[in-house]
Amino acid sequence: MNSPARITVTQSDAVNRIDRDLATFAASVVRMDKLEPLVTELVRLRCARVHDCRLCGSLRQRKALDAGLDETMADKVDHYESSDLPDNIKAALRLADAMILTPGYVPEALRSDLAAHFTREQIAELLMDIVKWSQQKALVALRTEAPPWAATEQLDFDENGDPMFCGPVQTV
Amino acid sequence: MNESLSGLLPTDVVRNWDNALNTVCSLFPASTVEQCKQRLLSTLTNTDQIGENAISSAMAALCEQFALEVSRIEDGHIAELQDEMSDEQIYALSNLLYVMDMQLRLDLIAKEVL
Repeated sequence: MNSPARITVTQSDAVNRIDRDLATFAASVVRMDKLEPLVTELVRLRCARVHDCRLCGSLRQRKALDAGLDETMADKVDHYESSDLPDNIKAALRLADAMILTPGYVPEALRSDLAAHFTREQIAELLMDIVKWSQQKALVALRTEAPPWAATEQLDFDENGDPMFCGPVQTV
Repeated sequence: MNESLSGLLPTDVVRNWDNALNTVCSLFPASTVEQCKQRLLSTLTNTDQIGENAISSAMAALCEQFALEVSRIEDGHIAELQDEMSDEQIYALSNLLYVMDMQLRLDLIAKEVL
């Protein structure tokens, strides 16, 4: 979809305070490091696809690329249950779906499914990852999330957890 | 935030989330925040918990669609809001819905999986 922005956002004290405090929260979530990069990235991509975030969908985290992420794997998040993705990633994606699609109905098996693959601290980190990656909802609602690039871009974070855009993903 | 969740997280994550939530909520009257929260919750849980109507029909419609399927919000939803709010206020509202929507989802999910 190629929807134009529905509003014009100009700098103001209120806008700056919102952006600053949400960015501070996001950076602190990024600094958590108990999960494998591929788990974090595929959960991020699931959020992007379900919410139809064009910006997030156009990004690939550098750490996940280094860990073996490619477009074949990325595409599997759309039909992960029938895919050959590892069981721990499927469990993480089920949690993402429960949170973003059916929060009023959590499948009974989800708790034991998650416990088989993750510690309680890792599950807590997954939950906050989903909150952080769902920040796109505020942008999608207003269609202010069009990426400034046409290709797929590498995403990395500095030591503070702030995002850095590092050029197009190199395809082989 | 649910104590079983906050106890498992770094203190700065909990503090920064609470701070962002408070910042966005402080930009609106308490009655608006509460009514938006009730609209979001009733949509997320598919229940009818709506009390006094303190927000406009345009705002209520945005709450419901935001919780249900954000990508299906239409230009008309936002255009209707522009009749009663500035773009800056709409930007703040969208972020208000984000933080409250996520807080409600965390409350519903964390107790089931932790």
